[in-house]
Amino acid sequence: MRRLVSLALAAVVAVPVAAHSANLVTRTDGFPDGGKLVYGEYGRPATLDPVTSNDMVGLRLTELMFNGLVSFSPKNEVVSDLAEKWEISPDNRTYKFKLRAGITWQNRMGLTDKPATADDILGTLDVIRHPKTLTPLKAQYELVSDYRKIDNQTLEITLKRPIVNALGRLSFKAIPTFVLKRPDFLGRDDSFVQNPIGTGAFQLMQTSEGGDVVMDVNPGYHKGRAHLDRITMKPFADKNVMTQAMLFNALDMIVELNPRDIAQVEGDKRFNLYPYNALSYVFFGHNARNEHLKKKEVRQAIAYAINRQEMLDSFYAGRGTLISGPFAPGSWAYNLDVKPLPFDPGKAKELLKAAGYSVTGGDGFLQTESGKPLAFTLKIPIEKENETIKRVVLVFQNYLKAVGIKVDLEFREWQAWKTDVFVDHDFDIVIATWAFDDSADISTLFHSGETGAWRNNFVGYSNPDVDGLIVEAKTTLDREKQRTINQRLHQVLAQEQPYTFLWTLTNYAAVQKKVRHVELHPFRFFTFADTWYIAKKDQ
Amino acid sequence: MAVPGGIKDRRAVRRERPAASPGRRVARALVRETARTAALLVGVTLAMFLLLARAPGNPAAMYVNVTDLTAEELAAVNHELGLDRSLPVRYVVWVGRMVRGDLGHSLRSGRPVTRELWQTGWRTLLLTGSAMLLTLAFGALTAYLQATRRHPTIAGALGTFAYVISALPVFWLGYLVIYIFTTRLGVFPLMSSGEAATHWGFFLLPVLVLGLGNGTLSEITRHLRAHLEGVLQEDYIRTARAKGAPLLRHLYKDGFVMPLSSVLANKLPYVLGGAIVVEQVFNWAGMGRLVWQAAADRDYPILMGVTLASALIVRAGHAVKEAAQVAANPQLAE
Repeated sequence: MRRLVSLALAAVVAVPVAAHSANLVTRTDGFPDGGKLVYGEYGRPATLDPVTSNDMVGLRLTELMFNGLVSFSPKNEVVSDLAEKWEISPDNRTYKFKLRAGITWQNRMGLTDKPATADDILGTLDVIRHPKTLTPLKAQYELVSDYRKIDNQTLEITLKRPIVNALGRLSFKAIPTFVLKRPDFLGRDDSFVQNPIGTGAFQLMQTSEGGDVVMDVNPGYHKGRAHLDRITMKPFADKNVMTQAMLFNALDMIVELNPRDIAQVEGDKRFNLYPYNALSYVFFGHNARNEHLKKKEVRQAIAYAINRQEMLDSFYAGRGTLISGPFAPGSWAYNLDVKPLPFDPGKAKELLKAAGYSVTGGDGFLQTESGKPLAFTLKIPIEKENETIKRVVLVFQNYLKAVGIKVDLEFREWQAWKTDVFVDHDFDIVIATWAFDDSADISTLFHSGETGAWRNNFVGYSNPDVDGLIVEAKTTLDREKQRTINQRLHQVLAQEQPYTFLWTLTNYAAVQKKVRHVELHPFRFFTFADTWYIAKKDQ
Repeated sequence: MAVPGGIKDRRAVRRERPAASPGRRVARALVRETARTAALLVGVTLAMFLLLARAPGNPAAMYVNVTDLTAEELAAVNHELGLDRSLPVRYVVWVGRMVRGDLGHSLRSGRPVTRELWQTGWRTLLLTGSAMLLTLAFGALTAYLQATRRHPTIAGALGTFAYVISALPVFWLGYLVIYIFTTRLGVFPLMSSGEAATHWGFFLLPVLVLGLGNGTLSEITRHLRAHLEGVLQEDYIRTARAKGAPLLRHLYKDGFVMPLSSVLANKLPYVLGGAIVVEQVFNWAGMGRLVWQAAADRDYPILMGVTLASALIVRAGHAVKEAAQVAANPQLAE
């Protein structure tokens, strides 16, 4: 009943707006308007606003409902969004943005054609930087030293020091701070976090008790009305059931298909699969504080002992790419000349022998002459439903057994695992995943100054050469020079093997064929959803 | 073969002393239950609180990337979340608010815990309540048929079914049922796209799975049968039979109300536990999913709220048992 009421209200509000807004932008692509899209996600978002949101489900939703000063093209180049154009000062520190004319906040909760101004953009920065706002964005905007409004349409942001790709980092999404409970910060007790207003192509209509997030098209969107009338996100607690739901036509799309369902959906004529890079990589991390693992030869032997291609092929149907270093393959920092170490158990045994493990103990595993066994504990985080990781670690155990290294497996609940690894450093080997970053900044991963509690160099890797390269890469502004340094870093780390780098996986979105012109951004996903459409006959 | 002792005696006593004002006795029993419940709640919540405090992990990870922060920044976040205060202070503050009906706000969503509990709790109650009724109905029917030996074939089949289904893990049964009834036969909708949770077909499958597959069915059937067989050998039943009086009318109090109400109270926690799994499999937006998410996030206020609510539900089951038994036999209120 309540649902009907809210829809009726929306209709009442929307009609006069359409009549009064003279400067509505219309699209010229000729695609039809109308149709609804229902998509499935694994898990529910904690919050729906772009400031406090800290999970992928929520971040994808904010991409539909909000905009930043700048956005990204399908090739991940920075393009204009709320800002029409910008000027960069000669010292590369000051960015002057000119906002697009006619941008309004969505007509919800009493707002009617309220323009989005420079005050709102800077207010959002204030909120992000306020100590009482708990947001993952804060660290990112520490690089901002100053900002000011020039007029309602113009603003200026000054950085502490020039950095590469600063523009891309200024893509934070604007919120109307004047509607917040307290205009200077945003806490989760503010109803805005569940019921936000943005400038985006779609506006929130309601969140059902079951967690469905219903968004309707924003007729006053500054890039023109999106084609779809409505997008609904349905949360699932089980990936198998989610795939079933799509096969029963209860869903039009799944953002990230369960790897083991890919083959089935691929064979189904109703769906298109859209691959996108997972932008993360899987690795075995070796604790350099361990007396065996601090030897480079042991780490190299581990890499030679395992057949990564075979693991990728049999567990992920080959849907991914082996990597040799800590960058995204295909990114500007990745060094294609460095090949992943090949599968060569003989070489592994030689290396271990050279490292002083020449005696085979009674249990068949290697040990030092003084009788210290070559045995490790592998700690595995129990993440949501990750069955495949279990197979990976079992095979890893077998590969290492074949060259004489003993590995015990220990599964730990996710938060307990994090405490063990990041705080207590109580592990020998871990299996983990890092998400790539636009900036290809790996300084916190391998710098010797980052080995404390909750720091990213949890393996305790320390190498003066690597430290030097990292500092050099961080301080240069020349992209070419940075590329050279990163490629050098890649080469060194591939030799040093602080991690056994495994692979980066390909994700697949499954979409009903009736949805057309589907273009995806690798991790923002919905950036181009305003151009998706459903043909009239399929609506 | 456990034959409940003293039934004959109690009934004899009752006949001698006519039961005066059974309503007042029920009320007295309820008051006693309430006092017990209060004591239990303090114990359960305190235990949960200490357990959470000792568990690794930090809810701050829900808000920020902990590895991006310096120690001071992390301390500031913990201060914002109220996690820097000492344990006794936090517990006392929690109890103080709880007494006034305020369970705090979810660290994850920012919504009031009481609202989250209502929104998900009624669904869980609906699921567990219906499932419990189904369990009891099935158990009672099977036990009755077995004890009276009237339809040995049906009784045998039902008994075997109870044994087999109790041995199956409930999550597996869930997938199996979805596969058979939805994927293969298409009898039930997996979910309709709009109002999935209110569709009767969507409701029926999880109740069937939880009601029959919660693992207590065979135990309950055996317990009831043993009890019924005992009661059937009582003199007054033999007399009733000899007179040709309807058996069930004489049997229902001692044969059904008594054992069924104690089974209800004893098995409710198991069914609640099973509900967590069934809610996952059927995408049922109930308390089970809430607590699962909250445990992964270390969402302390939600976990405390769910603990409290579950303890209350279990105690409510006990209260129903006491009330039913006292109503059936006011002597028990003494």
